[in-house]
Amino acid sequence: MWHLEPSLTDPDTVYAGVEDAALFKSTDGGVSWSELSALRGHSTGSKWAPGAGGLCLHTILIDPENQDRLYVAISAAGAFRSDDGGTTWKPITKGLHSKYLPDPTAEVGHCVHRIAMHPSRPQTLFMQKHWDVMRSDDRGESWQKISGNLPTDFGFVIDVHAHEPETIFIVPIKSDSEHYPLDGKLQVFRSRTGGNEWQPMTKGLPQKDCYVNVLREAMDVDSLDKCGVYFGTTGGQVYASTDGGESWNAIVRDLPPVVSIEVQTI
Amino acid sequence: MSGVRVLVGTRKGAFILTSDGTRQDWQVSAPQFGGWQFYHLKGSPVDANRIYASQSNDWFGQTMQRSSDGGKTWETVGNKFSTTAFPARTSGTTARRTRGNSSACGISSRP
Repeated sequence: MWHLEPSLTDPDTVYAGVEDAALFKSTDGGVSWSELSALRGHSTGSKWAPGAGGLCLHTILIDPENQDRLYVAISAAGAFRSDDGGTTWKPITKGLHSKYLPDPTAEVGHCVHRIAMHPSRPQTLFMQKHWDVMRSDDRGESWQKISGNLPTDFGFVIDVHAHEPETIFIVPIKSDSEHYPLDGKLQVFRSRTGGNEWQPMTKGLPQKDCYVNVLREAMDVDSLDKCGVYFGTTGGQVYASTDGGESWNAIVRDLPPVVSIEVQTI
Repeated sequence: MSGVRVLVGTRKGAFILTSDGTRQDWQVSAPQFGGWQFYHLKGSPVDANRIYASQSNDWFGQTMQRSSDGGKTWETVGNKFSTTAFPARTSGTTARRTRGNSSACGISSRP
């Protein structure tokens, strides 16, 4: 079970994304689960193949303006959207390019690592793909590359500032075979222009001898006045910024390897 | 002043980090379900005390936890995830797996 996505309106309703690539829903607080089987039964299903992490359904997004609109991402099937609560699905991969595929622009097979959405602008999606950082402004119908000046555009996490829908955060990772930061320097890259123009955020983060990874579920933001940004590492650190990414502190340093971070503003 | 609760899933337990709105001083909980892997914990946006958690290990498999008090106590809920069998594929994703990893999506990145 890779991802849990509670309903935006009902605490007893929750979606669950599992390996292998199935989506489930519970309406009784997790006591019983039913598969939304049209996803796995999609006509492209026979072409899906697992990424290195397995055939995992790791991202579920609910459109706050229309809660029957759901997005899921699967490594390495790609990304899919439903406009009818999960009854039917369509691949949303136009514009993605994956050089490791026999057909680099195939409808399915892209190793999507994470998709993020700002609730005030649900038509816009940001994606960290295996390689490439992408955005869509039409609910996934088409994607544009926004890697811009990034030193490497491999990575796992991507998230959006709580109050600035064009401010996004990623943690670049060296490559698909070397899952740690470039040059041993842990850097969050922030774009305030919705991509393409990126600035490294380094204050408070180790700038030598750092070889941790930041896994796809391990970044989130709070919604306080000055947006807090949080991420966890496979080295057991949880870093927090209380100034929108300008500076960072480790709020705990020695946990087991961190898999996921979720932040509640209470 | 409002505060922040950070739900942390790790390879060997779940941890809850809490602070007031200044976010300067943090309290770190004891391990919740120490030794178990937590792929994900997430709270309801309409009831912050309702938290769902995905707990697993290699021996016991998948378990689901639910809290109704912000992570102070937990209740084991359902873990029966029955998939639909499709006629074209005898066992759904198993059939896909045997075809190998045509995507060549890097080396191990679990999760």
